[in-house]
Amino acid sequence: MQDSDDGESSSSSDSYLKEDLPSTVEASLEKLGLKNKVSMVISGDITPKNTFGKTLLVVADKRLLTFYPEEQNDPLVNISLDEIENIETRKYVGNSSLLVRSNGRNIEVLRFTSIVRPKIESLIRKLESYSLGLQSAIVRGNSHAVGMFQEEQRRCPKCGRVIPPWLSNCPVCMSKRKVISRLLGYNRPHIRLAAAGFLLAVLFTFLNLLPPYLMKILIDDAIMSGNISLLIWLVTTLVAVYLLRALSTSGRSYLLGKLGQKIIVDLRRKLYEHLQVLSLSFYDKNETGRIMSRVMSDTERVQYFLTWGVQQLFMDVMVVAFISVILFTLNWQLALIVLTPTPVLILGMKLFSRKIHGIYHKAWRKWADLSAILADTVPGVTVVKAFSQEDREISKFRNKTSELYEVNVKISFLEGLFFPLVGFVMTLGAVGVWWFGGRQILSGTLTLGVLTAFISYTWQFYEPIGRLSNLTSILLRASTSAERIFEVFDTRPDVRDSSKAIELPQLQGRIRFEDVSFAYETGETVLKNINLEILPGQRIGLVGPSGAGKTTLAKLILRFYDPTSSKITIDGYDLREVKQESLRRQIGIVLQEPFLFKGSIAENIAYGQEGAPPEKIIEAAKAANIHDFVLSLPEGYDTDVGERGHRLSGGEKQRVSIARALLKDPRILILDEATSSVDTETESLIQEALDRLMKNRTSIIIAHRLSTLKNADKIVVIDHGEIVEEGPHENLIQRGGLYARLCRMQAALTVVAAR
Amino acid sequence: MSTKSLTTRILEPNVMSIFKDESGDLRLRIKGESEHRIQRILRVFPITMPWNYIVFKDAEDKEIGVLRNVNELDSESARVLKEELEKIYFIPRITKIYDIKEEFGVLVWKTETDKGPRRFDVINRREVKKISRDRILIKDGDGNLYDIPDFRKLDQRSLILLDSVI
Repeated sequence: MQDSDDGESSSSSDSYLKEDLPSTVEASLEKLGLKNKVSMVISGDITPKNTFGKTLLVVADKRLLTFYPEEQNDPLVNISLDEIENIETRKYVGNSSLLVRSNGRNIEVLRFTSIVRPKIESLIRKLESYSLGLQSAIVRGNSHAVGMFQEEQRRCPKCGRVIPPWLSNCPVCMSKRKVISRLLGYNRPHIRLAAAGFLLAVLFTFLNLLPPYLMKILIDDAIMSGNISLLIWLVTTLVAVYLLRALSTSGRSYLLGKLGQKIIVDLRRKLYEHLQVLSLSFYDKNETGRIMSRVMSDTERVQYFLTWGVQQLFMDVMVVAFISVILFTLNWQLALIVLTPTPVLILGMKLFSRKIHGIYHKAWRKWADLSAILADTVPGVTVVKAFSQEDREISKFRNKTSELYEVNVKISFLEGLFFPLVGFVMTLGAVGVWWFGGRQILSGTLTLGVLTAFISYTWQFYEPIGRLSNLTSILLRASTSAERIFEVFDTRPDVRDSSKAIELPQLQGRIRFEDVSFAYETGETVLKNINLEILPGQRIGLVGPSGAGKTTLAKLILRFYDPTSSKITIDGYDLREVKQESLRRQIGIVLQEPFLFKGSIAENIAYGQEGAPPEKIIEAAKAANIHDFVLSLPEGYDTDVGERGHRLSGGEKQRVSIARALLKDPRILILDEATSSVDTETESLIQEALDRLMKNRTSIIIAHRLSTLKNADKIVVIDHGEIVEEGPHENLIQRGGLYARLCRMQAALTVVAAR
Repeated sequence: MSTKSLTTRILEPNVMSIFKDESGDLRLRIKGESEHRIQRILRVFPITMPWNYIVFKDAEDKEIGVLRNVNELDSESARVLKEELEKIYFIPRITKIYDIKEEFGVLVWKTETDKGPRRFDVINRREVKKISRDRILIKDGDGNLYDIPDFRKLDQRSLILLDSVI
């Protein structure tokens, strides 16, 4: 994939595919004279006796050996790599087996569970490249041919764990503290807003501390000594304090709200921009729903933490500190009494939040279950009724509602128990203050004013303590969301323009697959040793059973993925060495499920061709057999197609997408099952449109209906990722292979349908 | 189908004239060609370019060609064509909004348009569409269209009412 850090990655790859050997096996290898020539060691985890246990596969000096060290020292299998005709894995339930074909015989080499699978896939790829003469691959344990697995072997320098290939940082070593500090970085561009909000928060905290103190002066100095002017002064001050407090609150709300929106807009934009840059493989791995929740709700949660959460935290700490100081200066004995319930409070809060967190989660899951039932049965009501399963569905729903009921009752119980209890503990503190304070008043060492102020401060003190004891869970929630967001940011696109990438000139359209293999990141090999040459202007039909790898092959031409080994060239240019944009600009694609975006028909035809003259749009629509239909709509080409084009029928959408491809005027055209989801009448309209589209272009047609391929110059039959037949229609029919069989089957089906 | 021409003929405004004959039919005369009785005229882009790209169809409903810009015609032809288009595409422009009330999810609009006062019901909020920065297009429950070419130019009260639904 890239050629950086060759030395480093080869060493890490060594440790990946070269595990330690037990001494018995080493001894046995010594006997065979292979000890110092070991290049790969992989352990399997299922023994020949069909139990869990260690077996070993060793590659040494062009030989493949397996050991079962618990039972015997000599190798179970010992064959030369040159004798191997084929190597493959067979997937069973809960385990897989590595099979080698040699001298016409299948030998089971190793059995393993899916944990070992990536290593085995990697091994196979290396052995395959070996058999193709790429000996260096096996000796050095590294080469361009296995570039993809080179990335899989990156390890975290700190903890030694393998870093998933789609991440740039080790997810484990990305500590919570680092996440939070990275998160706080998002406040930086808006530092002025944040600072202003913070100042107001400080002001608010300070103002909140004043009233109890004023109360003390009121009782001790104004009331007790009958000082009316002081009373007036105090009342006015109190009004001013409350007014200022209200003003600072509203100012802070506004500032923080604005800050929050700025942060969230920032985050969402950046996320979306990054999502657009990411390769298709990212989308293979992540469901739409999960991606959407990252952009929508995770950003929201992070934003809330960054604004309100952080400030509340500071304020709480400040309040606790200030009040402690005040309490101790007023009367240190009473202050100690105030502090006594604090440990109980902190502990209780911690226990409670731990307990309730699990239950909240459970309630949420039950809630989700309930909506899942609705989402299932409401659209499926026809089936429910047809099978008279109403009662069954009712009882299912009934069960789920009672489960939800139970959880919610439990929540009510716990909350009902805990909060009054906390209140009680806090009153104990306050009552203690009354008791000791009261005695001090009686003995004349304390004034009533101080006691009143004390009690007010006590209440103000417990509240932030409760919140702060919950701090870890707040931080945890924020950092989890933040991690999910950062995970996207840290994902690097697999397919990138190299720094030396050149602009692809106007193409002729000669496509060459030079012994291309491709595997998705799960390790499953999809295409094997594809050799294919497509000449400029040729029409190629790609045929084969579902899952044979036809669409993947097309995606490789668009460079949505890079081949795992070898290369694809167009007009002699290696796809990896040209700018993606300049490549894709010259390739048109029509898919089975045409995708239209919300907007007018004209906008959809001109997608990617902004500023295309209206005449061209009309011409493309005419060639796509959609012009007359569009004109018949009251809003003509300005008709809004709705989200995903839902206002148009399947055939109409397809023709719009053909018009789109026509307007793009690409040199290479890929049609992926373009006619398979429409009725026969529309099909002829579409077929006609497609024929116009394909004229003078290199076209690759993937089709299930083989009748649509009769005009193809060459038909390529793919099965299990390999090209099994190739040639014009008549030749393949005569040959009587897979293609002929598929044709016969379809002809038979047509006859059945005609009856 | 395939006999149809795929290219679009662009009609030259300086060689054509449009007029109505005694029976009230629209006619198109192109210099050096026979005269066409026009069965239909269609806007290709009725919303975004109402005065550009007009398709003419003859008595057999065959496409004669496309006129790029109505205003390039001689003034009389332009007048006739515009009048006809205004008739075919009856899209009142809202100049003032008196009230928008929600009744059981239906928006009841009371407006003043360039074609006179109009009261209409919008069933789905999504039918009040902002199609560009300044422009709003509304489709009522019966499929009639209403246009607000620049909503920022509406009076304050109309704007406030409109703002509550977009």
